[in-house]
Amino acid sequence: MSDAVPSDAALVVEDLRTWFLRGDATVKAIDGLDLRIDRNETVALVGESGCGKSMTGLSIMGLVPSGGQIVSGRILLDGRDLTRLTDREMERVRGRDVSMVFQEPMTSLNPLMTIGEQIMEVLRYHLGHTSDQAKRGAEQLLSLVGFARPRRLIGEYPHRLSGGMRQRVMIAIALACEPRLVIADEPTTALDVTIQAQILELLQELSQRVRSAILLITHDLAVVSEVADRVVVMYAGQAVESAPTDRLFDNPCHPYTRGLLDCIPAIEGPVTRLRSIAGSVPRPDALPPGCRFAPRCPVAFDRCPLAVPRMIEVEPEHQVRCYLFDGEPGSEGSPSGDPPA
Amino acid sequence: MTVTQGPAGGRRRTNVNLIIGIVIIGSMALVTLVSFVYTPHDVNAMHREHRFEGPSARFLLGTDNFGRDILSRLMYGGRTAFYVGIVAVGIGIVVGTMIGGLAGYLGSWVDELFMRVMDGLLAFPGLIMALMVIAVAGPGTLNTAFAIGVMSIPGISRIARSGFLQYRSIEFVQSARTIGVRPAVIMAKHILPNVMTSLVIAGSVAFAGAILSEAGLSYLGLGVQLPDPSWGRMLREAQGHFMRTPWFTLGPGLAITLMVLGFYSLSNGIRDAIDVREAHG
Repeated sequence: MSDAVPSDAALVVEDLRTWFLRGDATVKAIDGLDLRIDRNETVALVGESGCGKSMTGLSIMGLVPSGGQIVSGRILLDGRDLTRLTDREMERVRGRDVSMVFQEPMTSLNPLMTIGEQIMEVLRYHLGHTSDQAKRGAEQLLSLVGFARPRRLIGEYPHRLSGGMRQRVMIAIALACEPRLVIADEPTTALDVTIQAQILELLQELSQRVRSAILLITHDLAVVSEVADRVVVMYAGQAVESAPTDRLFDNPCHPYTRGLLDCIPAIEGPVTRLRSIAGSVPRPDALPPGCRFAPRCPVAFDRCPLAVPRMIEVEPEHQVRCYLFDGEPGSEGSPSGDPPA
Repeated sequence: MTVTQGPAGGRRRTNVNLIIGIVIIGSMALVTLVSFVYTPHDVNAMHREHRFEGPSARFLLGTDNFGRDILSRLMYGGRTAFYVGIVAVGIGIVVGTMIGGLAGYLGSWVDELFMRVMDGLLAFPGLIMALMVIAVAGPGTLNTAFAIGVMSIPGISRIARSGFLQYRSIEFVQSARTIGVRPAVIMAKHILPNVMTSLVIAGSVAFAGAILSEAGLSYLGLGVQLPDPSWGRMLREAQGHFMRTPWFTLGPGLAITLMVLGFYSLSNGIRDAIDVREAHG
């Protein structure tokens, strides 16, 4: 957590805490998250519903819903701390330096505004385009995301487009100003399986072209394995494991990550019942003391409920928040092995 | 929702409400417009020898206690009705939408403050409120319209609030925020058009209410003052002579009824039309 930010980092999140203070209860949606995304990198943020992954996206955008606030931590975009910006400054950042693609393409475009208007809005707002420039820009963007007749599409209303087409439009809007970072919150969850791959490819290809980093928020590990360079597994408001994608799939260390991977049915091998992780995510206003996964963890031992474990490096670029690895980096992450006393 | 849809063939049932509403309001508006260039008789001309007459070729709807032509006065009175309605609904929609919109979009204490004030306004019976405004500002057509407009603010602000509340967290509004659009622009450009249909319906209902209120206030002698002809005022003048000449009450009574019926039909028709559109996707 040094102040010197490496120049190739697009986004650095340090010890972020986004809490909702409601009378006597404090809901800790995000509680000490560290995250780093390099330029041109795609980082996947994975976790169950309610683990704080979407809240992470909103915190970076400075759009934490009312009642919540960022109580501590820094969000450095190109070295600039977004948590210190005024509302007005943040409006200039949104859409120009960070942008977002949402899950639900059917409702993420305004039904009463034409496709063209919605793309032109961001161009006019951030790049100061005139109407003519914005119109040309919108046409270019639409053809870039794969529409054959952009000129005609500009005057169309969203109800004429399918879900996949709308998501293309959303990508066009998100990348219009060539932002440093694109946050994609479950961008393919609502789409047909056949379209998902296309949309992901498009998002990645275009981001590479304009050198934008991608923060992919998802619960779909298949999507992760396909596009992410690095994966951060989130549980109850904290990162519990962070590793390059291949290494995470080859050598998952945290019991939660193992549980998640076990939930994926295997295509080969004997047909077995679908596995699931017992129990459910703890309510963020009643977090267990110590390791947050301990109550559901199959290999928890006496040390787990005492204090929150720190992130431990098990191999280069691979960190895990689990006592099984504390002090024994060479244990190769076998949770069934003898736990340290 | 599906009531207005036809059987499997998808044939839509005719929107009777909309047609009735448009026909009634349209013809009332037309007659009122005609009054600017033509009325059968001068509005205030008294034909002493023809007092309390029933319908005839010369006086189509009969004459009143001063021998004035009732049809001409009704046509002229339409101006008052529309004037009061437009001013009142204008005030109600503009102020109500601003208050309700801010309350719904911003939420928290703004919502609490504005809506409690609206609840306070709502707690006064509308007519008493209007009486209060008129007592302070004095009677007259404009003041009456103003008083009625103020009365309609709480109802419209509630409708606007629920609309803005509904759209505040919808994804396209979120996404407008993520591209840095300012709150004021989001409210005006992204949410308002989506809330407009329910506001138009509310405005149409408020219009009917405004005409009824104006008639009521004028009937009490507090609204529109002489010599402006008003349907409510005509009704008041007519009631003393009801036994002698029922024709006199029939004209203004019918005009008020038709106008109110027309606006209610219109609002129902608009709602049905939108429901069909939504049901069909």
